[in-house]
Amino acid sequence: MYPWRGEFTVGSPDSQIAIDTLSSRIDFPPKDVAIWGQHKTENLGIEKIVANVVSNPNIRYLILCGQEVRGHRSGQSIKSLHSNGIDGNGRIIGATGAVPYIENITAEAIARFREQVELVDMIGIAEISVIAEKVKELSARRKEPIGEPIIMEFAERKKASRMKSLSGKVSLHKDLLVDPYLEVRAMEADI
Amino acid sequence: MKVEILEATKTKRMVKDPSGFFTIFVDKPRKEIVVEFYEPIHKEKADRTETGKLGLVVCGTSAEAICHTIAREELVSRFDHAAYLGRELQKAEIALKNKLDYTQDEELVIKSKK
Repeated sequence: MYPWRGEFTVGSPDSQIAIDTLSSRIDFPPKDVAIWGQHKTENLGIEKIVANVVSNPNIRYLILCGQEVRGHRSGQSIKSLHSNGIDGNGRIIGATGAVPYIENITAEAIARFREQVELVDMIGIAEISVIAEKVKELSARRKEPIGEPIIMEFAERKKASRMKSLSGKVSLHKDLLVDPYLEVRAMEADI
Repeated sequence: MKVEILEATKTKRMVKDPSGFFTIFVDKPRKEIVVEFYEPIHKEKADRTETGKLGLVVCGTSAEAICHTIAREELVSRFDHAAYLGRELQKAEIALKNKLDYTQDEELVIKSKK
Protein backbone atom coordinates (compact mmCIF):
# COMPACT_ATOMS: atom_id res chain seq x y z
CA MET A 1 0.00 0.00 0.00
CA TYR A 2 2.92 2.36 0.58
CA PRO A 3 4.12 3.84 -2.74
CA TRP A 4 7.85 4.21 -2.14
CA ARG A 5 9.35 0.82 -1.40
CA GLY A 6 11.95 0.50 1.32
CA GLU A 7 13.32 -1.48 4.22
CA PHE A 8 10.36 -0.85 6.47
CA THR A 9 7.79 -3.18 7.99
CA VAL A 10 4.08 -2.70 7.43
CA GLY A 11 1.66 -3.41 10.25
CA SER A 12 -1.97 -2.41 10.60
CA PRO A 13 -3.33 0.00 7.95
CA ASP A 14 -5.79 1.33 10.54
CA SER A 15 -3.16 2.25 13.12
CA GLN A 16 -2.46 5.95 13.48
CA ILE A 17 1.14 5.45 14.55
CA ALA A 18 4.33 5.30 12.47
CA ILE A 19 7.70 4.71 14.12
CA ASP A 20 11.11 5.86 12.92
CA THR A 21 13.73 3.83 14.82
CA LEU A 22 16.69 5.79 13.37
CA SER A 23 19.84 3.63 13.56
CA SER A 24 18.32 1.02 15.90
CA ARG A 25 16.71 -2.22 14.80
CA ILE A 26 13.48 -2.60 16.80
CA ASP A 27 10.37 -4.62 15.96
CA PHE A 28 6.83 -3.95 17.06
CA PRO A 29 3.56 -5.89 17.22
CA PRO A 30 2.04 -5.41 13.74
CA LYS A 31 -1.47 -4.83 15.08
CA ASP A 32 -0.40 -1.71 16.99
CA VAL A 33 1.71 0.18 14.44
CA ALA A 34 1.03 1.19 10.82
CA ILE A 35 4.63 1.21 9.59
CA TRP A 36 8.08 1.23 11.17
CA GLY A 37 11.71 0.96 10.21
CA GLN A 38 15.18 2.37 10.41
CA HIS A 39 16.09 5.73 8.94
CA LYS A 40 19.71 6.48 8.21
CA THR A 41 19.95 9.55 6.00
CA GLU A 42 18.93 13.16 6.40
CA ASN A 43 17.82 13.49 2.77
CA LEU A 44 16.64 10.38 0.90
CA GLY A 45 15.55 8.63 4.10
CA ILE A 46 13.40 11.55 5.16
CA GLU A 47 11.89 11.82 1.69
CA LYS A 48 10.82 8.18 1.80
CA ILE A 49 9.22 8.60 5.23
CA VAL A 50 7.30 11.70 4.15
CA ALA A 51 6.11 10.12 0.88
CA ASN A 52 4.82 7.03 2.64
CA VAL A 53 3.27 8.81 5.62
CA VAL A 54 1.21 11.17 3.44
CA SER A 55 -0.05 8.18 1.45
CA ASN A 56 -1.88 6.93 4.56
CA PRO A 57 -4.17 9.59 6.11
CA ASN A 58 -4.75 7.34 9.14
CA ILE A 59 -1.20 8.01 10.36
CA ARG A 60 -1.37 10.90 12.83
CA TYR A 61 1.63 10.25 15.07
CA LEU A 62 5.27 9.70 14.19
CA ILE A 63 7.43 8.40 17.02
CA LEU A 64 11.16 9.08 16.68
CA CYS A 65 13.15 6.63 18.77
CA GLY A 66 16.33 4.58 18.82
CA GLN A 67 19.81 5.93 18.55
CA GLU A 68 20.52 9.04 16.49
CA VAL A 69 22.55 8.50 13.30
CA ARG A 70 26.00 10.02 13.73
CA GLY A 71 26.98 12.57 11.10
CA HIS A 72 23.65 12.40 9.29
CA ARG A 73 21.66 13.46 12.37
CA SER A 74 18.58 12.03 10.69
CA GLY A 75 16.36 12.40 13.76
CA GLN A 76 17.25 16.03 14.31
CA SER A 77 16.77 16.65 10.58
CA ILE A 78 13.26 15.21 10.39
CA LYS A 79 12.31 17.18 13.50
CA SER A 80 13.59 20.33 11.77
CA LEU A 81 11.60 19.53 8.63
CA HIS A 82 8.48 19.11 10.71
CA SER A 83 9.07 22.34 12.64
CA ASN A 84 10.50 24.59 9.94
CA GLY A 85 10.03 23.12 6.45
CA ILE A 86 12.57 23.83 3.68
CA ASP A 87 14.09 26.96 2.20
CA GLY A 88 14.09 27.95 -1.49
CA ASN A 89 17.13 25.74 -2.15
CA GLY A 90 15.50 22.62 -0.73
CA ARG A 91 17.51 22.76 2.49
CA ILE A 92 15.74 21.71 5.68
CA ILE A 93 15.71 24.83 7.82
CA GLY A 94 17.61 24.31 11.05
CA ALA A 95 18.83 20.79 10.22
CA THR A 96 22.35 20.04 11.39
CA GLY A 97 22.89 16.85 9.38
CA ALA A 98 25.56 16.76 6.69
CA VAL A 99 23.36 17.08 3.58
CA PRO A 100 19.81 17.94 4.63
CA TYR A 101 18.22 18.61 1.24
CA ILE A 102 14.82 17.56 -0.08
CA GLU A 103 14.64 16.91 -3.84
CA ASN A 104 12.18 14.11 -4.54
CA ILE A 105 8.94 15.13 -2.88
CA THR A 106 6.59 18.00 -3.54
CA ALA A 107 5.97 21.07 -1.44
CA GLU A 108 2.40 19.82 -1.08
CA ALA A 109 3.64 16.56 0.46
CA ILE A 110 5.92 18.41 2.88
CA ALA A 111 3.12 20.76 3.97
CA ARG A 112 0.76 17.84 4.43
CA PHE A 113 3.35 15.86 6.43
CA ARG A 114 3.84 18.79 8.79
CA GLU A 115 0.11 19.12 9.29
CA GLN A 116 -0.70 15.41 9.34
CA VAL A 117 1.55 14.03 12.05
CA GLU A 118 2.38 14.95 15.59
CA LEU A 119 6.02 14.11 16.27
CA VAL A 120 6.80 12.27 19.46
CA ASP A 121 10.47 12.71 20.33
CA MET A 122 11.88 9.61 22.00
CA ILE A 123 15.30 9.85 20.37
CA GLY A 124 17.84 7.90 22.40
CA ILE A 125 15.28 5.42 23.72
CA ALA A 126 15.46 1.89 22.29
CA GLU A 127 13.75 -0.14 25.02
CA ILE A 128 10.73 -1.70 23.36
CA SER A 129 8.72 -1.73 26.61
CA VAL A 130 9.04 2.04 26.94
CA ILE A 131 8.12 2.66 23.31
CA ALA A 132 5.23 0.16 23.49
CA GLU A 133 3.83 2.08 26.43
CA LYS A 134 3.86 5.27 24.34
CA VAL A 135 2.18 3.42 21.46
CA LYS A 136 -0.56 2.32 23.85
CA GLU A 137 -1.00 5.89 25.12
CA LEU A 138 -1.19 7.35 21.60
CA SER A 139 -3.58 4.64 20.42
CA ALA A 140 -6.01 5.80 23.08
CA ARG A 141 -5.78 9.39 21.78
CA ARG A 142 -7.66 8.80 18.53
CA LYS A 143 -7.55 11.45 15.84
CA GLU A 144 -9.62 11.54 12.68
CA PRO A 145 -7.88 10.60 9.38
CA ILE A 146 -6.67 13.64 7.48
CA GLY A 147 -7.99 14.25 3.96
CA GLU A 148 -7.17 12.16 0.94
CA PRO A 149 -3.97 10.18 0.40
CA ILE A 150 -1.15 11.92 -1.46
CA ILE A 151 0.44 9.26 -3.62
CA MET A 152 3.88 9.50 -5.22
CA GLU A 153 3.56 7.85 -8.61
CA PHE A 154 5.79 5.08 -9.89
CA ALA A 155 4.90 3.92 -13.39
CA GLU A 156 6.19 0.83 -15.13
CA ARG A 157 7.97 1.66 -18.35
CA LYS A 158 6.16 0.20 -21.31
CA LYS A 159 9.25 -0.44 -23.42
CA ALA A 160 11.65 -2.95 -21.87
CA SER A 161 14.69 -0.88 -22.72
CA ARG A 162 15.63 2.45 -24.13
CA MET A 163 18.71 0.85 -25.69
CA LYS A 164 19.03 0.63 -29.46
CA SER A 165 19.63 -2.76 -31.07
CA LEU A 166 23.15 -3.97 -30.47
CA SER A 167 22.88 -7.27 -32.38
CA GLY A 168 23.85 -9.54 -29.50
CA LYS A 169 26.51 -7.22 -28.17
CA VAL A 170 26.47 -5.83 -24.65
CA SER A 171 27.09 -2.21 -23.80
CA LEU A 172 29.50 -1.62 -20.93
CA HIS A 173 29.54 2.09 -21.36
CA LYS A 174 27.80 4.57 -23.59
CA ASP A 175 30.80 4.61 -25.91
CA LEU A 176 31.96 0.97 -25.66
CA LEU A 177 30.62 -2.36 -26.84
CA VAL A 178 31.72 -5.87 -26.02
CA ASP A 179 30.71 -8.64 -28.40
CA PRO A 180 30.19 -12.33 -27.42
CA TYR A 181 33.91 -12.96 -28.00
CA LEU A 182 34.73 -10.23 -25.46
CA GLU A 183 36.26 -7.90 -27.98
CA VAL A 184 35.72 -4.35 -26.88
CA ARG A 185 35.43 -1.55 -29.37
CA ALA A 186 34.07 1.96 -29.57
CA MET A 187 30.37 2.17 -30.28
CA GLU A 188 29.62 3.19 -33.83
CA ALA A 189 27.64 6.30 -34.39
CA ASP A 190 24.91 4.45 -36.30
CA ILE A 191 24.11 1.87 -33.59
CA MET B 1 56.10 -15.90 -22.99
CA LYS B 2 56.16 -13.72 -19.91
CA VAL B 3 52.99 -12.86 -18.05
CA GLU B 4 52.94 -10.45 -15.17
CA ILE B 5 51.39 -11.30 -11.82
CA LEU B 6 49.97 -8.41 -9.90
CA GLU B 7 48.93 -8.45 -6.26
CA ALA B 8 45.50 -6.93 -5.78
CA THR B 9 45.32 -3.73 -3.77
CA LYS B 10 42.42 -1.50 -2.85
CA THR B 11 42.21 2.01 -4.19
CA LYS B 12 42.46 4.38 -1.24
CA ARG B 13 40.34 7.20 -2.56
CA MET B 14 36.89 6.56 -3.96
CA VAL B 15 36.01 8.60 -7.03
CA LYS B 16 32.32 9.30 -7.35
CA ASP B 17 30.61 8.31 -10.57
CA PRO B 18 29.40 11.48 -12.31
CA SER B 19 26.47 9.49 -13.73
CA GLY B 20 24.91 9.04 -10.30
CA PHE B 21 24.59 6.66 -7.38
CA PHE B 22 22.45 3.74 -6.28
CA THR B 23 20.67 2.56 -3.19
CA ILE B 24 20.07 -1.18 -2.96
CA PHE B 25 17.77 -3.07 -0.63
CA VAL B 26 15.87 -6.33 -0.44
CA ASP B 27 12.09 -6.05 -0.32
CA LYS B 28 11.44 -9.16 1.75
CA PRO B 29 7.62 -9.23 1.54
CA ARG B 30 7.76 -9.01 -2.25
CA LYS B 31 10.88 -11.18 -2.49
CA GLU B 32 12.72 -8.76 -4.77
CA ILE B 33 15.93 -6.79 -4.91
CA VAL B 34 15.18 -3.10 -5.45
CA VAL B 35 17.75 -0.72 -6.89
CA GLU B 36 17.11 3.01 -6.92
CA PHE B 37 19.21 5.15 -9.24
CA TYR B 38 19.74 8.79 -8.32
CA GLU B 39 21.11 11.45 -10.63
CA PRO B 40 23.58 13.57 -8.68
CA ILE B 41 22.63 16.98 -7.40
CA HIS B 42 25.38 19.27 -6.24
CA LYS B 43 24.64 21.57 -3.35
CA GLU B 44 26.82 24.30 -1.91
CA LYS B 45 30.15 22.85 -3.08
CA ALA B 46 30.06 22.18 -6.80
CA ASP B 47 32.64 19.37 -6.67
CA ARG B 48 30.64 17.26 -4.24
CA THR B 49 27.72 14.99 -5.06
CA GLU B 50 25.57 15.50 -2.07
CA THR B 51 22.11 14.22 -2.82
CA GLY B 52 20.18 12.97 -5.81
CA LYS B 53 17.07 13.03 -7.92
CA LEU B 54 15.40 9.64 -8.18
CA GLY B 55 15.69 8.70 -11.84
CA LEU B 56 14.83 5.03 -12.14
CA VAL B 57 13.91 2.02 -10.03
CA VAL B 58 15.09 -1.41 -11.19
CA CYS B 59 13.67 -4.51 -9.47
CA GLY B 60 14.30 -8.19 -9.89
CA THR B 61 15.48 -11.36 -8.25
CA SER B 62 18.67 -11.90 -10.24
CA ALA B 63 21.84 -9.87 -9.73
CA GLU B 64 22.84 -10.73 -13.28
CA ALA B 65 19.60 -9.40 -14.79
CA ILE B 66 19.78 -6.22 -12.71
CA CYS B 67 23.41 -5.68 -13.75
CA HIS B 68 22.47 -6.14 -17.41
CA THR B 69 19.58 -3.70 -17.06
CA ILE B 70 21.79 -1.08 -15.43
CA ALA B 71 24.33 -1.51 -18.22
CA ARG B 72 21.66 -1.26 -20.92
CA GLU B 73 20.31 1.88 -19.33
CA GLU B 74 23.85 3.32 -19.22
CA LEU B 75 23.55 4.27 -15.57
CA VAL B 76 27.24 3.82 -14.73
CA SER B 77 30.26 5.48 -16.29
CA ARG B 78 33.11 4.11 -14.19
CA PHE B 79 34.46 0.57 -14.16
CA ASP B 80 35.02 0.61 -10.39
CA HIS B 81 31.40 1.65 -9.90
CA ALA B 82 30.17 -1.17 -12.15
CA ALA B 83 32.33 -3.67 -10.24
CA TYR B 84 31.00 -2.34 -6.92
CA LEU B 85 27.42 -2.78 -8.10
CA GLY B 86 28.12 -6.33 -9.21
CA ARG B 87 29.48 -7.19 -5.77
CA GLU B 88 26.61 -5.56 -3.90
CA LEU B 89 23.92 -7.08 -6.11
CA GLN B 90 25.38 -10.57 -5.76
CA LYS B 91 25.33 -10.11 -1.97
CA ALA B 92 21.69 -8.96 -2.21
CA GLU B 93 20.78 -12.02 -4.30
CA ILE B 94 22.45 -14.38 -1.81
CA ALA B 95 20.57 -12.65 1.01
CA LEU B 96 17.26 -12.90 -0.86
CA LYS B 97 17.69 -16.59 -1.66
CA ASN B 98 18.81 -17.50 1.85
CA LYS B 99 16.53 -15.21 3.85
CA LEU B 100 19.46 -13.23 5.26
CA ASP B 101 19.58 -9.58 6.17
CA TYR B 102 21.18 -7.39 3.51
CA THR B 103 22.43 -3.89 4.18
CA GLN B 104 24.22 -2.02 1.43
CA ASP B 105 27.94 -1.58 2.08
CA GLU B 106 27.86 -3.92 5.06
CA GLU B 107 29.28 -7.42 5.25
CA LEU B 108 26.76 -10.16 4.57
CA VAL B 109 26.38 -12.24 7.72
CA ILE B 110 25.96 -15.88 6.73
CA LYS B 111 24.70 -18.05 9.54
CA SER B 112 26.54 -21.36 9.51
CA LYS B 113 24.46 -24.53 9.54
CA LYS B 114 24.92 -26.56 12.72
